[in-house]
Amino acid sequence: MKLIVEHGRYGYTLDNLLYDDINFAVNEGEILSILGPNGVGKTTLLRCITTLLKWHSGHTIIDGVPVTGRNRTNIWEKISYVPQTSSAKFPYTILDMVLLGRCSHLKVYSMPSKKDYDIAMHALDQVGIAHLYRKKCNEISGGEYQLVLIARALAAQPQLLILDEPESHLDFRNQILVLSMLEKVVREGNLSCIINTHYPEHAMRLADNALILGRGRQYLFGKAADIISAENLSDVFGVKVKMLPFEYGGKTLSSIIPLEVI
Amino acid sequence: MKHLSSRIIIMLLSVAIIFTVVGCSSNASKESGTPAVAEKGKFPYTITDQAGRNIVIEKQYERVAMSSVRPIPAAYLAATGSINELVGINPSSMVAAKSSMLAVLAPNIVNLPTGFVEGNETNIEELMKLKPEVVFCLNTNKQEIDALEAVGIRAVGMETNGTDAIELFSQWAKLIGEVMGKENQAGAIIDHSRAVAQKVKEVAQTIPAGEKKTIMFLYTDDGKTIKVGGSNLYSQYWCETIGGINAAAEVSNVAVVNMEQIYKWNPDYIFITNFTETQPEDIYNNKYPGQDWSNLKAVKDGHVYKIPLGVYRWFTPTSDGALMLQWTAQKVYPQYFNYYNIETEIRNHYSKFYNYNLNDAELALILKPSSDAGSYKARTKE
Amino acid sequence: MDPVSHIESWEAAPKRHGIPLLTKVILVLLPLVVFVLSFGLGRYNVSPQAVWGILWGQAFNLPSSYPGTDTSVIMVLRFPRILMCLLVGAGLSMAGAALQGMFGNPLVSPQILGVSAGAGFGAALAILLSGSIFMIQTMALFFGICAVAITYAISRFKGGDSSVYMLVLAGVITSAFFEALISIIKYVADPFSKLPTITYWLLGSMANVSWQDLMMVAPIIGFGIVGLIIMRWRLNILSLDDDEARSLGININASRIMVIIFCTLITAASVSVCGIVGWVGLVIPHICRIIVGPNHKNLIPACLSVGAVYLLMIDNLARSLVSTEIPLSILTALVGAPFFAYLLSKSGGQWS
Repeated sequence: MKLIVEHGRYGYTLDNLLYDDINFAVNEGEILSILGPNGVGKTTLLRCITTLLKWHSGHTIIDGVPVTGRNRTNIWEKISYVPQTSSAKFPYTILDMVLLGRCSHLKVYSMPSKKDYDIAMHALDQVGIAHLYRKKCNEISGGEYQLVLIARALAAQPQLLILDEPESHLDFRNQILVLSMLEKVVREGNLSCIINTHYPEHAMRLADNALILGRGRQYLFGKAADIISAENLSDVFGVKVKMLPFEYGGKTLSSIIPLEVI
Repeated sequence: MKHLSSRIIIMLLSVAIIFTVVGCSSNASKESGTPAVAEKGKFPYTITDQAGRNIVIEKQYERVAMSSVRPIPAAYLAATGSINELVGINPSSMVAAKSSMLAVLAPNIVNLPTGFVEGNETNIEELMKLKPEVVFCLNTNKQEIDALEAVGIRAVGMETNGTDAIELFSQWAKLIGEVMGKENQAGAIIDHSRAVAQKVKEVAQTIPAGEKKTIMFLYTDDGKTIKVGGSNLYSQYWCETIGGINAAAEVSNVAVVNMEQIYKWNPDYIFITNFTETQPEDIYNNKYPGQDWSNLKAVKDGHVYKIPLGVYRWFTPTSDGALMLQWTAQKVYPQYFNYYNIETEIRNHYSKFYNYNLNDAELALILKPSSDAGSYKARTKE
Repeated sequence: MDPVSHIESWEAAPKRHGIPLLTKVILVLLPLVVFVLSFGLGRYNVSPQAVWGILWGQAFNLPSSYPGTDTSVIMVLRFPRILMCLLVGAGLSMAGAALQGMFGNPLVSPQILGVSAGAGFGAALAILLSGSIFMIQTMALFFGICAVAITYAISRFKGGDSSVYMLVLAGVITSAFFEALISIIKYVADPFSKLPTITYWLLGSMANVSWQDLMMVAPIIGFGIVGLIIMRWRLNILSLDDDEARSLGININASRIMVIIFCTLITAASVSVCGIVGWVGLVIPHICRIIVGPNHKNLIPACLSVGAVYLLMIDNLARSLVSTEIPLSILTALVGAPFFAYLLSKSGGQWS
């Protein structure tokens, strides 16, 4: 599916806009990475894209159709969202939690069927924690819980997967695991993906396109390899960086080293 | 010299008494116009109220209020012969008065103020506006008694605990008589009530054990909750005095019971008080959907009655207590209590003690009262 | 790990992942057993043969050879009362569980949105005005629903979504308001007649429940119960944060309104026939979480069963233990509070 944001305009107060006339697109099978300093509105942007918040002006357009008030809930049949944090108020089992992802495909009066359970288990399998399906959500580590949330998003069989800083709470190894898993799942399923990240290296590694949000409603959008440059990073983050590209596994990866604060 | 000094002493004493009395009742005398004067030799005298307090009665009171204990205004009428001195009564007493014979016997009672009682509390300031000289109140309400005495109003505590309705009424009447200097009038109805009770007891003792009947006093039934009169309440007294057995003796005071418990007791007689709107027809016709009275012996035998309503609800201690005994006894054991005609007794009682000749309609309404007293609505005067 | 073998182990798992079969059997059978046994309990002694004979005879319209008293005890006094207990016990427990799920807070009871305070006010007002039983019940129902409508309206002040936080605050306001009104009514009521009636009514009682009462409230409570059963799986989603829940594809506002409507109807109807019965909506969901876990798909039906049994057993005590009727709230609190303390000591606040 193709998602376009056109002339997007939003701020929590009207005299303090986060974005003014922001434009970008995610095509089928593309991964878009969003970068930016704290407080610049990355999570808010995700909420605007998915209409959890309403654009003051501008549209989110999905497959050529602008998302309006009427078809807002239908959006979740195609999009899945993995939030940054989640507080589990009741200790559901992992399988029950992942099963909730099937909701957008079920009618209001129906219950999940065996087929839904199978899809949920498959999603758990995709993220590699199927053996934990009977454990309770409060009995696993933070990293494992993040995988549960991703599995839940995958269980909805989305066309677009949106993740808000999925690697933030993970250790060094788990970060790579999650990224590799995401890449595999997205490519295999031909999903589109939007991923907020604090790590430009991850963006470079994973993303086709990048959207860098700067202060004062500035933004840069384009191919990841083009947009994520030492110059842009310095401008936006106020940090002098050095980028060291190298070849690995047939791809050009980049190590991005912060030198000093500007 | 001796003659002169004794005269001076008597004069001084009289002046002292006059000054004391005038001083104490100066507020009242300003309103009534005539200064209160002590009857030489009678005042002051001391009595004991039912809170165990010694009370000094210094004058003939002319302004009397009643703040609680609902049946007291009716008792007052019987003990003193009029309600002329009343300046205010409890609102629940007013409701009762308007739906009973009290409003007929003493029509001016309906004009009395009741606003000084809010909820269960007496507003002393409001009460003071009525300028009462003496207030009959609840003997256990120490706060109210102290507050009244502090503002110079004589408080007389009245007891409500007790099972013997005749004795309790007698104590009330005696106390009221002492306070108001109407001992003789009060004494008349006290003696009569006790005499009737004594006679009824004697006849009741002749009833063989095998013929004893069980009686249940249905205190209230509003369709949702059934309350009966258990032991430790007037129900016990009425039952025992006439030679009956209180079917609800295993519960005490006013107790909430369910229908099954009443089935278990299966009383021979059911008497419905005037605290509820329920009438015998409601019981016979099973008016309340969740209740089935039809299986009970009392219902099958047609022995469900509404207690008469005279000067106050007859279930409680009243000046009609003698009539209550006579009426109930005759209902339960007509073959033993056949030496009087209840209608004649009622007429005579009202003529003698309230100085009122009942007409047929009034007599009928006493014997078969409406539901007004139980609905706590005021009845319009006939 | 080999993905295939995982899925193979899953194939066998449904039986192990769900509730054990024995638990399910007990949850289904227990209400039936207690239901049947309850017919034999009461102040008036009816032999088991008579109980059976009367029920059988009534079911098949056979001529009765049993004394009228026995028949009345079974058919007029016990039967509607037992059914009402099952209905109200189930309804209040399910409503409690649903609201705890919706608010994500296990300390929530059905009273949180003000329905009991409103219904109590309606009933007290009707009693004060010397209304009939029907008027008392209708006014209780009406004001119970009004109170929740007011709560919902308050929660939407400032044009915001009725987030759970606003709902809780609004519920506190509405409850406090109606409680104050009840206090005023108690103050002006005749202390010898109306006040005891109001007080007793507020304490809750199943006494003198009739078939008519059942016919009036069974559809309402039944509607609420069925609604909650249909919605039970979605309660899991409602218990999540707002955005998270939305992102899973449910309409939060519509879902919350539906849950509130079902719970309000159940509670208001229950209060209108039997007064305020506390502790059932609070404690039973906790007990059921320990038995079947927090997944509302299992929790809601479990509450139906356990709640029905609990209130029925409590009411059996209320009407049989001593000669007088014991108000329900007293018993549910006397039994519920220590039992709740025991649960907390065992579970340490966790439910597993």
